[in-house]
Amino acid sequence: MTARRAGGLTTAVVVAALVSACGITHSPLEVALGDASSAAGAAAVAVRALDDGDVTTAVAQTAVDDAVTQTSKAAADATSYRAKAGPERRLQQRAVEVVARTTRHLHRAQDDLTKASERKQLERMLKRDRDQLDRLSTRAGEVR
Amino acid sequence: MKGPFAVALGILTAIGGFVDIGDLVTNAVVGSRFGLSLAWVVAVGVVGIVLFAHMAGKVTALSGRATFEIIRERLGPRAAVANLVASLLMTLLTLTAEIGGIALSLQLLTGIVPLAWIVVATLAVWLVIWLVKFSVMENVAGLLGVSLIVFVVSFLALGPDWSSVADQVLQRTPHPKEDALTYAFYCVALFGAAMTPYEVFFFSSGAVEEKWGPRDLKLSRLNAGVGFPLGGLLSLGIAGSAYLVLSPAGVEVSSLSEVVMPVGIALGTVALAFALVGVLAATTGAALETALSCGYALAQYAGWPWGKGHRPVHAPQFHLTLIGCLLVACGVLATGVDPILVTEFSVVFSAVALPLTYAPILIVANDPQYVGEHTNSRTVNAVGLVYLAIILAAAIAAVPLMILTGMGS
Repeated sequence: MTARRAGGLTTAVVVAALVSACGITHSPLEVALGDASSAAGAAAVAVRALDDGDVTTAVAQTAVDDAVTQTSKAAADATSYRAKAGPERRLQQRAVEVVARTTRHLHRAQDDLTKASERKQLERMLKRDRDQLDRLSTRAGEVR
Repeated sequence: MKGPFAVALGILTAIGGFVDIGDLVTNAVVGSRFGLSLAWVVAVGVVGIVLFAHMAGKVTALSGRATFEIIRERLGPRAAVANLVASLLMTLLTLTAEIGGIALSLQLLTGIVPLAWIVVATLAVWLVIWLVKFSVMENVAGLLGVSLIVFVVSFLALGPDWSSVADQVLQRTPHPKEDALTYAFYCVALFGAAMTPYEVFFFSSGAVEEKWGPRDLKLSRLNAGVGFPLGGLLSLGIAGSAYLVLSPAGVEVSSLSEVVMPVGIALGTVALAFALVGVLAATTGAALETALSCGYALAQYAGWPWGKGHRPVHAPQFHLTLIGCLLVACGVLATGVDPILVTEFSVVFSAVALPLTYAPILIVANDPQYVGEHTNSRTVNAVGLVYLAIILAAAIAAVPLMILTGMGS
């Protein structure tokens, strides 16, 4: 092995060690679940704020639209993630299901946002999704 | 009446410069994830921008010339070209983010998708630059931008637990979901957002547009000393409101709608309207400043006639440069790229470009040929050198941190 190659290898090992030691790289699955959880939470806040008369329809609608965009991206990321082992694969499968369900709920929120009678139920549903996604995100962080 | 109007220059650069789309988004993200733990970074950024903006203002007031002209003359065209390229690219990226910010705020006001507003926003910025007087432009954007104060009011109205706030400010609150490198990444991003390079160039070139002279030295100190700390206070209000409303709901800010919602929840729809007007004014003000700064930077380097006061026929290259930059920004946004993503990139790369912007200002502010007997004092130079060290560290760390943390995700 030449000195240059050895130097390159050492650098790579040091960087890899640093990366794993600091725990800096969240797995893409963990990030996707975290993003979807945050999006569901934001939509729940927007639905509640609109119901309380604290925000305008345009702001609430935009917040829900943004949440749909974010969750759709998270769904694509969760689906394309390559799980390494059995437990992670099962977690990924569950993650894909829950993110897909959250996306459906967010689409429903887009449609029913202006119906005052639907908002309480929408908020409850989105909060449930957020909590479930949050738990899955924590598990994804532990599994990697 | 010249005094109050001239102070508005500082207010404009504080609101439209210090609080622009980068600050709005970065402070809200940081607030929702770290509470007020990074308030110290805002304070460090405020002191830094006050220090260097005052130096740039002093050089202009005493020499009657803008920073870029002097940097080119003092350092020579070869050395100055690095400064030009870094500043111009960064300012163009920031302009793109600001026009995206205008489109997003118009979406929040009307409910119409932002893509539809991009051309309108670009055209409006160009028309204001072309048709509206410099003083009117700065006063209107500056005064409307002050309505962002509702973020500070909403933070206070939400009734923060002051002992918890103190714990965060004093770094006694752990953030179990975040790691040290993500914390460091947001330190750099906040610092980059606070010390965006175009701010000093606009401050200095705006002073030439307003025909500052030696008698305006006190005014320069007042503008930087009052305007930028006001911007810092607004930044803390944005972070604080996001922390109190969004953090308990498990929301990590990723859109402008999430930035403004806490104001509505705290104070209702009238305050929300003020916040939206403030956001629109801040992004429009910053878009005007960055578009003009693109023209200033290139024209001052190349020695072309420049200034908003010059009709296009008398300063064609200056006007063509800013039109070209507006078209590039519009074209980039028309591809459908997320303006918030552009904003995040702009604040990180701002940090990378900082040394090339601020080091020459420190050199020029110590040259008696331009500032006569008003060269920096030893204390100012010592603080300036400490800041250059911080700036250099932030510039070196910015890109590795961005990669290692996946943009802080």
